[in-house]
Amino acid sequence: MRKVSQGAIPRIRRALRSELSLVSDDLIEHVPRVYRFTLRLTGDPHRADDLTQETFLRAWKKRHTLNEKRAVLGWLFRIAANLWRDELRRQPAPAHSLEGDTPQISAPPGQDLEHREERSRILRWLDSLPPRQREVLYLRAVEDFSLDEICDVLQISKGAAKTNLSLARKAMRENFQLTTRETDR
Amino acid sequence: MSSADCTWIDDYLAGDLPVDWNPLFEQHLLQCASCREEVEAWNTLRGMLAQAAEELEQPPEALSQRIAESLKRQPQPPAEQPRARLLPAAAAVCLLVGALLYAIPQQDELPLRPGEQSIAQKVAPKPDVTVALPDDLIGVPVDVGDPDVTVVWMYPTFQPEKREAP
Repeated sequence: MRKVSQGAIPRIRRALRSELSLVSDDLIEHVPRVYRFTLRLTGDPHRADDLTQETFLRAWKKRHTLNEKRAVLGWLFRIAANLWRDELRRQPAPAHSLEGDTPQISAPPGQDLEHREERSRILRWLDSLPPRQREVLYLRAVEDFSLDEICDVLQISKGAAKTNLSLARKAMRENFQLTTRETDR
Repeated sequence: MSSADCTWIDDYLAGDLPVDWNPLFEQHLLQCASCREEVEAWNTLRGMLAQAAEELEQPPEALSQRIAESLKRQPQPPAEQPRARLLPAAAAVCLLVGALLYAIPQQDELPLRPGEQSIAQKVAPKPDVTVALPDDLIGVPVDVGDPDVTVVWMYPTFQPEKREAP
């Protein structure tokens, strides 16, 4: 084991801090993804907006607790999920209400209306799932998180994550099949 | 490969199959239409969800700006406070000084007569001074040649900063 002199310790600490230090730009670049995740949690664009802001404020205050700079997105999601859990404890959320809100953002010009309607319908299916299934499916399918990362963000067991993912996948598949059958008629 | 491998599908799609099992399952996929269909449906779903979220759920334009401004207004997090870290050392010094003062014989005692001096030296126990040091200090006694004076060098030990959960 390499010995380190007492005098070197402050220098090492300073170097580690600078390696881990987050500048606000490192965080801000994740706003769209955190916003979309908070939409999944809250089901309401206004609450998602508030929760996103609160998440970044909390993250900024706690940035010295981040162990690995690369893991910043998962860390932000975890903060958002924790804040949302606290919020639910204080004040239970109304029923998920994204159904009518999802397509409110204007589509890029020239985009096929049908294509957009299809995308919008998929998001509605996603948001009609029970909260846990919705969150697990979103993190796995959209964010490509591993099961371990999902467990870390949502503070659930691996078994629960796997079960919820499987149920969500099947529910989405049924929706697809139903729609396909209706279209074929 | 038997059809029992169909039971691996959930782990495979969850990305939770052991790495060296993936090729085995992919072999199975070549032979199993039902699993293949399941994997294709999953890939389609992922693609569509990611695209839908990206296209239809952009955050309000002003949100990033608002967040950036509110972060700028936040005070800097408190720097490490060296004074607080010296508290255990200061407490140990106080303890040591107190113990030494207690151990020094009181000067207002009557002087011993010649015969009593030798008896007192044989009978009187040497005062044992025990000083409890905090965990992050190492104390090393230093001989200064005086039986009534004990000097203890204290070395702080390096302890990694504790981190709070966010």
